[in-house]
Amino acid sequence: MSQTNTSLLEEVVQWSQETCRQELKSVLPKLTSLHYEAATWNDCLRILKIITEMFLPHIGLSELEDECFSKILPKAVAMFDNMMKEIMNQVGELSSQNTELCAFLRNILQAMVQLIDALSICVRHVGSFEEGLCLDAIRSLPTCILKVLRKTFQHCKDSEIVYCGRLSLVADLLQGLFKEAYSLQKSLLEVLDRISLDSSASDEEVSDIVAVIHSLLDICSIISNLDIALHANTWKFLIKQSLKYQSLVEEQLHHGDIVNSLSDNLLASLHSCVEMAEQIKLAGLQETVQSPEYKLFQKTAKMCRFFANTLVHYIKEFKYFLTKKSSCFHQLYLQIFSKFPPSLCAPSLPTALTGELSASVLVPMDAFLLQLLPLRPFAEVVLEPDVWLSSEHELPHFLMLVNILGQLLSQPEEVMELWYSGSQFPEDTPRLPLFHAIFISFRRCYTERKVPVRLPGVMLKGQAQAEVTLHQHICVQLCASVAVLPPVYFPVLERCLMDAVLQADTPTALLAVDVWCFTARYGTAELCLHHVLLIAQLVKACNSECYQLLHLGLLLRRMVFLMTPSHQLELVAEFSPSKVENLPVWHHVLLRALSQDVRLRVETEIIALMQRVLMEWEDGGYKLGQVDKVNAALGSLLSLLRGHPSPEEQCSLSVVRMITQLWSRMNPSQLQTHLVLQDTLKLLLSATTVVVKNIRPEAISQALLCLEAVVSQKCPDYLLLAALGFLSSLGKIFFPEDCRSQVLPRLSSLFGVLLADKSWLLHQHALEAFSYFAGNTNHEEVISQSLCVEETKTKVINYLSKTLKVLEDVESRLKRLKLEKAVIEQHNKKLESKESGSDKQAAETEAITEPEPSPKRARQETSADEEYERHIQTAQSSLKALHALVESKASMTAPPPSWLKAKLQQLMTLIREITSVRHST
Amino acid sequence: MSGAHLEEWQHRSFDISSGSCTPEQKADAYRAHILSIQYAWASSQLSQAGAAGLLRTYSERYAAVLDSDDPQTGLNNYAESALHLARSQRNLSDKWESPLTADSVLQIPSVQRMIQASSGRESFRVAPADVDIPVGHESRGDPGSAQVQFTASRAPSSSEVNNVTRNLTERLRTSDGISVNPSVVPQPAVRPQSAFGHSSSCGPSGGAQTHQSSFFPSSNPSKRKNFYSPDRSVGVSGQHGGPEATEPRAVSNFKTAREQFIVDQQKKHSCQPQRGHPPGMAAAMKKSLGANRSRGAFSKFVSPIPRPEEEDSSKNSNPEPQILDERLKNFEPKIVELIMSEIMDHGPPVAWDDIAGLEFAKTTIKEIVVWPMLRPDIFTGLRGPPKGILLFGPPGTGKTLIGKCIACQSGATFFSISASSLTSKWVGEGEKMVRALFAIARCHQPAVIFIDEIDSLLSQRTDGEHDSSRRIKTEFLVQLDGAATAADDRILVVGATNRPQEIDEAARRRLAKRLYVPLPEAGARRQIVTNLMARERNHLRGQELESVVAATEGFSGADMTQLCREAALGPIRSIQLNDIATISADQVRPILYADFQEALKTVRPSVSAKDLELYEDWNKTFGCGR
Repeated sequence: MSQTNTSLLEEVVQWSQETCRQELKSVLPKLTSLHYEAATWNDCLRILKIITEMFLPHIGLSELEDECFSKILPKAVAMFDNMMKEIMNQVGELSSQNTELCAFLRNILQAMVQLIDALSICVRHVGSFEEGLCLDAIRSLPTCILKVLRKTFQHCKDSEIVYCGRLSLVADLLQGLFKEAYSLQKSLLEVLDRISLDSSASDEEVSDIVAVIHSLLDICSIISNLDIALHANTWKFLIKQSLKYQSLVEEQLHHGDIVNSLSDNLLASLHSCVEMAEQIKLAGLQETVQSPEYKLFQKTAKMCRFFANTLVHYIKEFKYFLTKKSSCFHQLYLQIFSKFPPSLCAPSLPTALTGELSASVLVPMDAFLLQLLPLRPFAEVVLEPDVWLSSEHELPHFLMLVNILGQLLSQPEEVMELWYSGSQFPEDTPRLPLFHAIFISFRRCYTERKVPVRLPGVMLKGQAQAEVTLHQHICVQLCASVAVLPPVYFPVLERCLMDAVLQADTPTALLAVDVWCFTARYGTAELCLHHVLLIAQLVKACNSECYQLLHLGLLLRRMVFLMTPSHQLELVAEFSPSKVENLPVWHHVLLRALSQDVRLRVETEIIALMQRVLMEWEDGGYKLGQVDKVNAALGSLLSLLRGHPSPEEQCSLSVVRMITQLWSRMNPSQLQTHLVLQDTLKLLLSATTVVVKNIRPEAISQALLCLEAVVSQKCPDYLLLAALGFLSSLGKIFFPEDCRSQVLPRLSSLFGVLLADKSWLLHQHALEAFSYFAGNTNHEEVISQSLCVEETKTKVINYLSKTLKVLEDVESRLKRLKLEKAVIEQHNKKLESKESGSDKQAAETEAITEPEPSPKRARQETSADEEYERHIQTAQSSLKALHALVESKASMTAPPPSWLKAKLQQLMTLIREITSVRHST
Repeated sequence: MSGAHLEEWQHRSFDISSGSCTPEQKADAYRAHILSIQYAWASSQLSQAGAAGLLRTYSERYAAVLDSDDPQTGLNNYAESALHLARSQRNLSDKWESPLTADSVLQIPSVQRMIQASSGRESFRVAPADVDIPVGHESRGDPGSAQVQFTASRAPSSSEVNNVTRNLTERLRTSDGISVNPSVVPQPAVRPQSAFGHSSSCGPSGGAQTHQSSFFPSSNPSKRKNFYSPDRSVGVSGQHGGPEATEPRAVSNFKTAREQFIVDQQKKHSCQPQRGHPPGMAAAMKKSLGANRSRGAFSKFVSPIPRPEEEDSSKNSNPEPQILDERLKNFEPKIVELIMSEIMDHGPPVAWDDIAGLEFAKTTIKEIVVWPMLRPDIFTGLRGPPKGILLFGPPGTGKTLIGKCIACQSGATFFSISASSLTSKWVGEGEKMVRALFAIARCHQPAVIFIDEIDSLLSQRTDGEHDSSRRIKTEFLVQLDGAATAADDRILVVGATNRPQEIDEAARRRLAKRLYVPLPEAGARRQIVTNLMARERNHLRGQELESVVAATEGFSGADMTQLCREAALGPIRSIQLNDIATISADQVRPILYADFQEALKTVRPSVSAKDLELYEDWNKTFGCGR
């Protein structure tokens, strides 16, 4: 620095206030240029101080920017940068021995403090103007100061890494630096707050404001871990500014960054809350409300609430700029809800803390969802047909859909349209109807359904709010939305229900059926009739081996209960039970659902039909080919008996006669070879169970004989289940003296075999059947003779005394359920993929190579022998059928298809392979 | 692995058979059974046929629980909860239409897949070569069956068959004769109404609208319903008893007024003539209490089909004690039940627009009732809503209507309490009732307690008054704003009175917002007339309407309604007496201005100018309005 300059400075320092004011015009330019040229930090700082302390108070608002700020501030920022760089360069060498370096660094830090001090004076001066503050007049001030602040906070944040273990040497100065920066920011924000722009603001001003907002955002991300209050205040200011100038800045703001940062902060605070709560739990501190841990937890929870509310507020104001963030919002919701019960991966925390946390986070999430509802992109993300979610996000996604369903009740038309109706045109991004998405999502929550997780139910009439299962929760919500469903969306609902009934997962179909029944009771009687007719038509069209038939049958059975008597008559007229082709429908209807006259009519017709079929069978010489027909009629008869166990006397007489007649045709050796007869046996067993009191002991004896023969060899489980029903019903029968010797030993040996069954379901049903039998029978000797095996005996005794083993612990159960989920999913997929193999030939070859619809051979508990036999039998019968087909075709003109030969060749190779495997082992 | 399944299954089945579990738990248990069966099938522990059989069994049991409306054993399709959620919204179910037809249903992809799968898996259950094997043929030589002699091994001869059929047809015919021949019985059964029911008459304003009701099941016997209970095997013969037993009563000449009432109700609602249902009748006679008024004649839905099990329904009529909220356990169940019955969680749908005029009162109420419910987070601290509102003004100006509107629009639990139900001749009972009321309201936050004619409850405390009524007052004041109340309780007391000057000064302080509901101004009167006339055929020109409005200065809203009623009778009066039997409804002439002029001669304002002055004065002193 030259001599003249130094002397000027020394002279100026002596000046009084008054002189400064007078000489301002002449000296200030000199000083600013000196400052600009100053080579060392010390000089620079010194001049800066002189300007800010002595001359600044005398500069008017209008000259401030041009005369002073634009000249000194950029230089100050550059100097600050240099200092920072210098520290970074030198700090590596720092150690407590190196006092020289230590002093050097401390000097720099002190200089930094002074510089910030000088900046504070600038801000304070600006703040002292009463009015007329406008951005143009102080343009460079906010920009420069925010740069300095950013650097400072970043440095403080990094200090631990930067200074490594030597932090203690400078810690006091760093703290001072932070404090100065803190108060500088505070006063800057106060000043900025007083500025107001109107709609006529220039582009420059607007871009300045935008820059300020963005640098604040930058600072926010730096200080998130430093100081809670500062962080929150900065955010508050940021949001306030962006809302204040909403119309000006909305086009330029980086909405995505702001929202991202808000969600990150929300998640981070939530995480630290959860961690703290876990620590509190571990330390057993939850009792002491006054503990510092608890206070910190409360503070962080408050931050969670702040961020969540801010996010909602921001979305509310700028939602149309945020459409691209839809999938982030979706993820945010899922992540948050997976942290709370009933999510299975939620940490278990003290209830008080969970309650507090969910009050701060989950409550705003409702408002969050409400804001997002009208956004088409959000709907598209949520309702995406193939949305892939990790297993812990399945339940939150499901809850989200349910929540949306609930909120839709009070939404305007177009929002309902968006969610209810699915994508209408091929050019739309595909989205599912909400109902459909709910069913899909419900299906995926296997583990949660099985656990089962509990959700708060609907509060009713002063009763305590109960916890309900997922099924009940969603069922109530779906029914509520059905109850207010506008007619426009009814077709959509109908389609979704239909699809859900026809998919493979039975519990999901059950849910759909529940909702359908509600719809039927809530809607008009005509609608119910219409649906029943449609369902009956489908039942009729459906092959008995389809899984869909199970669901349709259930639906039909329940819907018939809800029909008016006259409509039931219409059903009977449409699907007359006297026609063989309508029998599949009546397989599924419980006769007690019908009104009296309709029931009588159906009863009469079915019995007459059964008699006709039997007579034809008899006249035709009891041919095996006719057994299918007999089975169909018998199935309906069984349904009749089940639904209304005590028919008119006349009917029951003829029913008993027919059953007795059928029993007389049952032959144990034929039962083994002809599968179709096993079906007959099963139906016959079930039917006999119902009317057992009227059956002659001879017929019962014949039945037991057949059963014994069948059970002694391999026998399908459905037959065993039917047999169990039959056996348990025998408890009510008192056998006359003459047939006891035949009946009772068979009875006990059958019970003995069935009670020892390896399959747990069969075992359980055997236990139930046996205990029922034992409770009713007069022939006590059967009981003791059935239990001659010790193991069986203990099991039965345990069951009767209701002793239960302790259930497995929660964790291993959860693990098991997760494994099970995979099995079920695969099973369902297999069922559904099978149906798409529409090609008949594909189905045929499949029938040969893999006749069993069950997918995965997990651990087989039935013996392998039985497996082999079943497969061989199916293969045999298929091949025989093929043979007959070829022969009949050969006799006519049409030759068999050309591919047949090749396929047969393949089969031959397969057979060779199988035999070779056998040889080698 | 299977061991765990067995354990779980047994746990559940013991629970089910224990008889101590609620229908909800039962349904959950059956659902869990179904899940277990599904897993057994999926993991090949069970064949498809076996799974199908078991699923059918357990889904039937499940359905019996879910679809039954017996509160002891069934869940009634969760209707109570579902309709509670959907309360105060329009029910449009009668407009639902299914676009599906027998053909179009086959076009649905999922159905098509099913059909394809069905046709693709045509199974050869019987190998063609075996078709001719006679079933049971060899059995003749079989030693096992040879021992068993069948006397009836032959199929019934055709004459026997005919016999049976004829017999049955006979029965069918006789039963037709009794009641159910479809061509004889009138069939209102297909009225487009929901089985869950909603009374079609709901207050003067709700004539054309249906709305959700959470009262359930309700009086709509014309609709079918379920009776999915497994033990309906009581026997056919018993079912004839019902109609015959009540027949004489229906045809006997003399009827008491009560009988006539029942008959009328049944004619109106029932499709089956004279299915006597003693419980239903008893209910018809039950004095309706509080909000029960909309239930109609029968408190319980009566099925169109006789239900034999009703005879033994008496044995399970010992109601299980309801599970009550922890906070209510100190109160007598009877009191709690009484208060509960006054919760009006559905009202006739009244919108703010249905209230003519009174803009200031409406805005104020929206501000302190509706908005805080929507955004509780904003309305805190100083912005916190007041704990009480007093609506005062001359009778017939819409105070009660405002109460109804709050019930509909706020989404809060709405208690409509009459002062008399809080007072009791038993000393001490009254205070308990008040305390219970507030305790229940606290369990149901946000809550609005509406007390009509509040002056009778909170009149000035004087020396001469009875001790018990004084204690009720004190208790009320303490509950309203005292040591026991928390600052964040979201309970609002709305009182309505036309004697504001009689209110105790401490109560006045607590009812911080005191809103004057004045007589309708000209605009409001015009709106009332227009609204009421919109539903009638009328020839009222704009100018004539104006003069009606001008002539009714000083009329209250109720007076206006009375005037319109009177005017609407005008056309009827002009009909000759002997024509009235034959005239068709559309021959009645429309309502004219002259009818109004006639009516104005007889209808007078019910509020005197002196009374009005009193209200104005009180409003100036204590009111919060302008």
